Amino acid sequence: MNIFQGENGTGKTTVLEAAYMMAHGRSFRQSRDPELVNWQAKSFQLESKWQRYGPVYVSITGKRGRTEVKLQGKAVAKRKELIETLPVIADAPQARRLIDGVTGERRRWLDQLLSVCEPAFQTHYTAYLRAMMQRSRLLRRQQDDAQLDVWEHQLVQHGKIVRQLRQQVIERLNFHLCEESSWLDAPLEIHIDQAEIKVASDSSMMNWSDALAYYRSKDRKTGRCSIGPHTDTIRITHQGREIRTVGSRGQQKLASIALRLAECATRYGYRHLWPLLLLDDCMEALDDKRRFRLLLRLQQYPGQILMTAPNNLMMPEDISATILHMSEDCGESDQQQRFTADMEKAA
Amino acid sequence: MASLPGMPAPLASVIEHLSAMPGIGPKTAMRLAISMLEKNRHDVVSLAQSLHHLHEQMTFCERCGCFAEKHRCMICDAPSRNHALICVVEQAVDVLMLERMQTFRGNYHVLHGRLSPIDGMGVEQLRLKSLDARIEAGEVQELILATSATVDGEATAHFIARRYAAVDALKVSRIARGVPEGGELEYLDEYTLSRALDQRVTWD
Repeated sequence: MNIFQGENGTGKTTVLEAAYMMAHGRSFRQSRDPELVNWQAKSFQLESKWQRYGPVYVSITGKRGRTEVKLQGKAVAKRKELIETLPVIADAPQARRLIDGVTGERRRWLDQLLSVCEPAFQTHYTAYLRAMMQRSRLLRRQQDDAQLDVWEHQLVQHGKIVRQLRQQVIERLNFHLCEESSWLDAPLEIHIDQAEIKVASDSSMMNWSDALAYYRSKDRKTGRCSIGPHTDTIRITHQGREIRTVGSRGQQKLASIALRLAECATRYGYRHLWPLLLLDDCMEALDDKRRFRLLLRLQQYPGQILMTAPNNLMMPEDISATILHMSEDCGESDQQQRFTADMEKAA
Repeated sequence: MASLPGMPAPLASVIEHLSAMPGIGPKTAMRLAISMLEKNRHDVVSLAQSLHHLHEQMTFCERCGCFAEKHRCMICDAPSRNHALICVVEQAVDVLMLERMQTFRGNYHVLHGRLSPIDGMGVEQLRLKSLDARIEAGEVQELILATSATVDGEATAHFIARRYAAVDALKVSRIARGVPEGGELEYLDEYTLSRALDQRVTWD
């Protein structure tokens, strides 16, 4: 566990951002075009050596809004290659808003996790989206039902696998979240809800193909597909109630970290490598008791953690962590700082 | 590249025509044009004649839709081939690919496309009426659907399978997917491998 301390603007988050960038090829900030270059410079260069099973070298050069990523000295064509090689998970206020964001944020998070863990997921989800696009176009042209049946069949075939894989990963996440409940105020659970339609005659649920056929006229008007995995909602609950609506800021913060820890454990389950966990401002809005509980839990994490903390953080004696103090002088005098992140090898 | 100052118009014209071809960029086009200029006159005239004949003498078979020199292709006319077995493909070039293996003795049917509403391809655009006619004539016993293994190809295969599901004594099959012959497992993507495992065959 490595903790970066320092005043505002000394570059604590920047270190985390650099580590994230090494594994994802982009920043965790949600803005489309984050300003990564120092305001006095025209370009930036990141070099890193990771210790996985053997050394992994990553370098990133950014110039005029373009970034070039090299893995082991070779240019990386797809960011997915990098993401699969170096598992890094970040929880930051500027990153994806899992707890208090809209449901689409959580769905995208789940899908991103799945595309790393289950290689088949991406294939089926791309196929599903393609079939959905074809169906929408056909609906707009008011074509015959025989053709629509064919695309809806494709939609259901691929969509079923998408839902099945999502369910599997949610079960795993829930299992790990259950293990996290010991240090949380209340156990957390993830649920996925699917829109279903009742058959008017006997109030049983309509099967998916029939439901798609039922929605044709509505979808023709709206130009989008009303039901399917792309509309499923993901809820994170806390004693049966959604944490987004009932949780306090502190509870939401803890839930967000617990979710990241469960994500790390799930990724370990599939890939046998503990991800590097980046936690930005994770002590924010927490009282001393909860800060202590969180630090105790983080200390048990088998992988490496890089986190930022305010200057006034009182470190309890029984927590061992490397604390790095950052000050403004060091940030400006040494612009080419080098941070070596040694990721602990999986047990 | 073609508009380089000092380039004579005939050369620029050849370069521009060539660079409009798929897979040929301006540099390759210039290299090809200059190599034609350096070749002897007879060879280049012969190439020009071949190009001229391409549209004059080539057509599509009216029965199966493959490339043909007359109204009917050689495959449809061959008495030694099994006319009760039809392999349905998307493009005429697929027939050439399938013919390379020299083991398939049946006939073909080219759809000239696949279902894809976003590209404006619907059922009306596919050559299905001539396939209907072939099946109605009662000669066909098996239809092998060899459309590509994409969502669009799969939807096309599914559509055709459903269209002829009610025809008596017509067997409809789909080509298998998985590990290619001589392919090493380490170079296969995960999805192909899982498909190959799903569609494994029993050793007998």
